[in-house]
Amino acid sequence: MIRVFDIIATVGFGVALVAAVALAIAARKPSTRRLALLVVTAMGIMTVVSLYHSMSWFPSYGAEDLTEDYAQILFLPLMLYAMGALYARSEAERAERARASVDALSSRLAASLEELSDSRLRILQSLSAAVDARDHYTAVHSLGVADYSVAIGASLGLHDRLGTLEQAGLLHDIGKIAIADAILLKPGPLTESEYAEIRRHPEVSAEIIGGGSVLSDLTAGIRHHHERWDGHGYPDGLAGEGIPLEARILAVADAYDAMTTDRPYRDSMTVERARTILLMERGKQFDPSMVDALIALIDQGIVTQHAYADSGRR
Amino acid sequence: MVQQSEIIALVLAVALTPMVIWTYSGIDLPRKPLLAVGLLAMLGAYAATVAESFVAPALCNLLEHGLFALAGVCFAVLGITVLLRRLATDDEDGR
Repeated sequence: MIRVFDIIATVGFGVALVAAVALAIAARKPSTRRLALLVVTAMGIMTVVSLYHSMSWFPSYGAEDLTEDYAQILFLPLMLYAMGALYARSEAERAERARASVDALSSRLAASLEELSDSRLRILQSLSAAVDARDHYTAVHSLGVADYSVAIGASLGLHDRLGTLEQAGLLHDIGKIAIADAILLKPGPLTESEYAEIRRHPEVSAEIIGGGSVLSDLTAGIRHHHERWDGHGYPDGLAGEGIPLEARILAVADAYDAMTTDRPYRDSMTVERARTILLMERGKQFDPSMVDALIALIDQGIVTQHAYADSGRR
Repeated sequence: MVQQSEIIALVLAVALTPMVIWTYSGIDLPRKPLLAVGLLAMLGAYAATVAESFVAPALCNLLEHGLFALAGVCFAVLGITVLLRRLATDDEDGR
């Protein structure tokens, strides 16, 4: 029985030795070859030891003791060393796989963001076209509000919000497409009920924009651009810094553009007159710091009347 | 009579076992449990070699040789598996 075990052990370790030799030969990396050679040595020792056990013709028991028993001692340290090398290699491979996964994820994320950005642009263009088709004045006014809002935002150092300000400016009055022409284009003063209808447009705008989650970051600025610094605005009566920053900027830009362009019910004001009114409403209707920023831009000649003022307003 | 080399082998095996276990956990290897069984069989064989000088010499001797045979089979299967996996990987790479 023992002889059978010894033969099995010899064959087993021998096969493992051959496999390790084949791996060492096939190895492309020096580190893999070193690892395979460690295993070759360990399996070689155990093959020889098993051979000692199984060969009855081996010269003397004393010689077997010296070689066999001391040789066996080497097996475990060699295997441990080989396992250590394999461990380091496994760690490196795991790190490489993780890095590859992160790279793949980053690429997909970048592609998704680009796709999202394209979708956002297409939605913006569609909505702007809808406003233009329904009410050309509002479309042109929106271009002006967008320009002034960006100029104010830039002067306040809000460089990471300029895109939002521009898009919010372009779409801030989109709710007006829901207002009847008879009210929207009425040349004379509005009745109380007509004015109430007009006052609904920030909420309607926010509902239109908020419905498309791609543009939902514009909702707060658009909904609250008719709030007043003193809390007497609409739709929610917010006051002071409770009004979203984008809305406070849009409010000043909206008023300035409205004052300096012809409206269905009155002619445009001069820049000087608009400037005076802005100062009068500083801290009442408008955030003082936004007024200061716009006044500074007017005084520096950066903001006058916007470039679209003569581009076909009705 | 227990021999010095047998004691050294057993002490070394027991001392290295925690490191082997710790290293084993971080290794990626096909049919990894065979490595654990092979190493445990070697440890058992060392222990049986020492034990045969004290108790049931015939049984311990049989156990020692049987465990060496088991270890040999485990390492043979493991070696062939790794080699075949390696060859298959090379084929996939078109080499």
